[in-house]
Amino acid sequence: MNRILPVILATLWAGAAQAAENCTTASAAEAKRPPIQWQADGLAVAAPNGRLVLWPMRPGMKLNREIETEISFADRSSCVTRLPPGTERGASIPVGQKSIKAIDAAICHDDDGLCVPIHIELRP
Amino acid sequence: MISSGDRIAGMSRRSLVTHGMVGLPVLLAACAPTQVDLGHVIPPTYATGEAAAKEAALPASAPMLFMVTAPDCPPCREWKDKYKPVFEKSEARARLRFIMLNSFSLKQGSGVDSIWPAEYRWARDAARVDNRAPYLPLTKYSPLFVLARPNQYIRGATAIRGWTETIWPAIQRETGTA
Repeated sequence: MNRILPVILATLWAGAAQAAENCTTASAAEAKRPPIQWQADGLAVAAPNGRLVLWPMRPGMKLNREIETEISFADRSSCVTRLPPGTERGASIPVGQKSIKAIDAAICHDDDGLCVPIHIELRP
Repeated sequence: MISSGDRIAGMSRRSLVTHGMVGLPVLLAACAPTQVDLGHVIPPTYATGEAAAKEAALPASAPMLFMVTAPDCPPCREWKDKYKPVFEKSEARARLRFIMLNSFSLKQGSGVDSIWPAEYRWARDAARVDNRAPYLPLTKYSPLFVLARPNQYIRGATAIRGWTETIWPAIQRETGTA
C-alpha cells in the first residue's frame, strides 16, 4: 500500500469503450462549450448553467493510468474521452460542443484497492 | 490522503456520497448509486478439482465466501495474484465454500441480479445495507467480499483493505483457524 504518494488507478470501462465513439478532439479554444477540466477540487465539468461537478480526486494527485470516460449528451448521443496518465487537476479535456448530460467512468484507488463506479448527472 | 480506507478528498466516502460537498459552489451529483445491469452475464466460478471435492465433503452449515470481481478491476487482479494463492493453500479454505461471482465491468457495481445467482441474493441484500461498512451500499464497489453461512449473513467488505482487515480475520474466526 502506497500511502506516501497516493494515486488513482484509472480503469477501463470496456462496455462504454465498445459502445460509444471517441469524443471530438477539437481544442478548448475551438469548442464553443467549455471542456471537462480537472480543477482544484477534482474533475469539473462546465454545465449549461455554468455550474461545476466535482470528481473525488485528491489534491496533488495525478492519474497513473488512462481513464476512459463516457460523456452522454442531451441529444442522447455519447462519446468516450480518455484522460491520459499524468493528468493533473486543471487539465482541460475537450469533449465537443454539445450539452453534457452525464458522465460515467470508474476509478480505483491503489492505496486501499477499492474501485468505485462514477455516474454524474448534470442537471439542466 | 486516504489513511483509513474511508476517506476521499479529505472527507469520508459515506459523507461524500450522502451529503455531497456542502459549501462549495458546485453541484455534486455523483452520489446516486447507479448499478446498471448491462445485460451481460458471466456465470459464477465454482471450485473445481480437489477444492470441489473438499467442498462437497463439508457440512451444509459450512461458511461460504463470495467474491465479486470484474475484468476491468486492477485490485481484483491484485487479489487473485497476491492473496488468492495464500487463501487457497490455507487451512481456512478447506473449511468453507468459495464462489467467485463475475461482473461484466466495474460500472455494473457488484450487486446486480445478473451477477448473483438467485439462491444467494439474500447474502447480497444483507451486505448491501451492512452499516458496519465505511461506505454504502457495499454492492456498488469492487471487489466485494461476502462471508455467510446458509441463510446467515456474517460480514461483507470491499477493497483489498476490506479483505485484509475484515474478511480474512472473519474467515479465520468462522472456520476456527485464527
